[in-house]
Amino acid sequence: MLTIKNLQVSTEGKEILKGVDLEIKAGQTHAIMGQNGSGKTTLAKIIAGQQEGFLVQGRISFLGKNLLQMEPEERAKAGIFMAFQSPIEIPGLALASFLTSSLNEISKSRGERPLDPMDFSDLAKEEAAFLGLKQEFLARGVNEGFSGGERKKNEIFQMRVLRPLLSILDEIDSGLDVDSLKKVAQAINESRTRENSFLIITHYQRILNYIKPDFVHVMVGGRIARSGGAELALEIEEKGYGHLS
Amino acid sequence: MDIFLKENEHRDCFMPDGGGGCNVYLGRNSSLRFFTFNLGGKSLKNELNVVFKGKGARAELYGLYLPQDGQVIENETLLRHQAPSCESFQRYYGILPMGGKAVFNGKILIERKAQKTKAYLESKNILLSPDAQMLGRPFLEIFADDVQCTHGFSSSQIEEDEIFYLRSRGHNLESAKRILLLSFAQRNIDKVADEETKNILCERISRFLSEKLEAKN
Repeated sequence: MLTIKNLQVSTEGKEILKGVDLEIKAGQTHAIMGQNGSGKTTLAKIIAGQQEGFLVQGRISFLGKNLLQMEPEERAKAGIFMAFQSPIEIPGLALASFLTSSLNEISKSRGERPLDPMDFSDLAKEEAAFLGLKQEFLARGVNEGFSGGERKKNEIFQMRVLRPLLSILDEIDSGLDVDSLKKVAQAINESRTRENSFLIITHYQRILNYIKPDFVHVMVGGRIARSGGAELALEIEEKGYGHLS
Repeated sequence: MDIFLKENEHRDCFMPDGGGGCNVYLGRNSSLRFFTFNLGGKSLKNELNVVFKGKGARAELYGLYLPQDGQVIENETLLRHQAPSCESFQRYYGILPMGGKAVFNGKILIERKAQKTKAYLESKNILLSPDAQMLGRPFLEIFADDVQCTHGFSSSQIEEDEIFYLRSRGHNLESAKRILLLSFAQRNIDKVADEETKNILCERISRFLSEKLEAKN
């Protein structure tokens, strides 16, 4: 589904990614672990389409298309979703209308009919309730007055409604208490099918207690230093990142 | 134009479209919402003076200005807090496209007897072009010692990370900008109680923004 070859990214003359190779097949869940500044978030942003300020070399293909030639919205329409580490707040734009318009844009490109407003409302209520987000949040401005944990849940809520093929979850676990983490993990697990894939970016092994990845990669200094199975996360938890650098 | 609010009276007022001057006198426990919305048209100046005469009065002032190319929209507010325990809240938002210019001068005067006054003043402006111009600043004169006063003034472009967030959710660049600007304006429009007026304002602003964003591309 996603193939990254020798991806090099720099910003303001500083190299952030120094040749990343990664292949994610349909139905797989990959986890990328690494310390602050190792390049994890930059990798997520580059896949999702942030271009401003970055100099990018290498290749990324998604379902056979050259991803680096596509605008962020084209990538979203092709099935890529990114859950942001620090989602922005948009007061004045109700979450429900934001999500309806996003869903309509994406459905239109899939050749699907836009969802009937009543059906959307039912779907949104059901998904919000599942994640433990209050119904009133749908009428509120996007992330307006949401706590850190609620913002993270809202990202997963949007992912559930938009049904992407590849979900990149950038530190979805940070700032979540144990109960919320379990809920978010459950929502992710229930979204896993043979067709869609996940890239989970995290500092800690904690979330991987609830979501079992097929592959774990460790990023150090802009490169993938080690790749392995789920057991690699446990090794990191035990020995830290130090012994890899 | 002079407006007097009696004890416990509440009123929503709009600044006339062509600008001008307005003095509002607030009686005890009265409350005022005053809207100054300007969208395109000729250059103009709005002067709004609010005098807090009675204890416990409250005023909310919402401004929205979208000057077009070559137009100057000026807003000047003077809030005279003369009685204790009054509250004033001012939020002036501007969206300035190419060639648009706006001025906002907000003055708050808190007299010695106006103890326990709470005053909030915010002016936030989004510049869509390097040649759009925003001038202004808050002026505070405080003679009472037990007051809470907050003020802020900012001018900036639309944030890149906000645009990226919307684009990552399937909106193209122009629509992302339009959504962000409209929701910014919506915060003040939402304070209007009348639904029909609100809808008309939203439509007009949406059309104005579409024109300006298209003209830029």
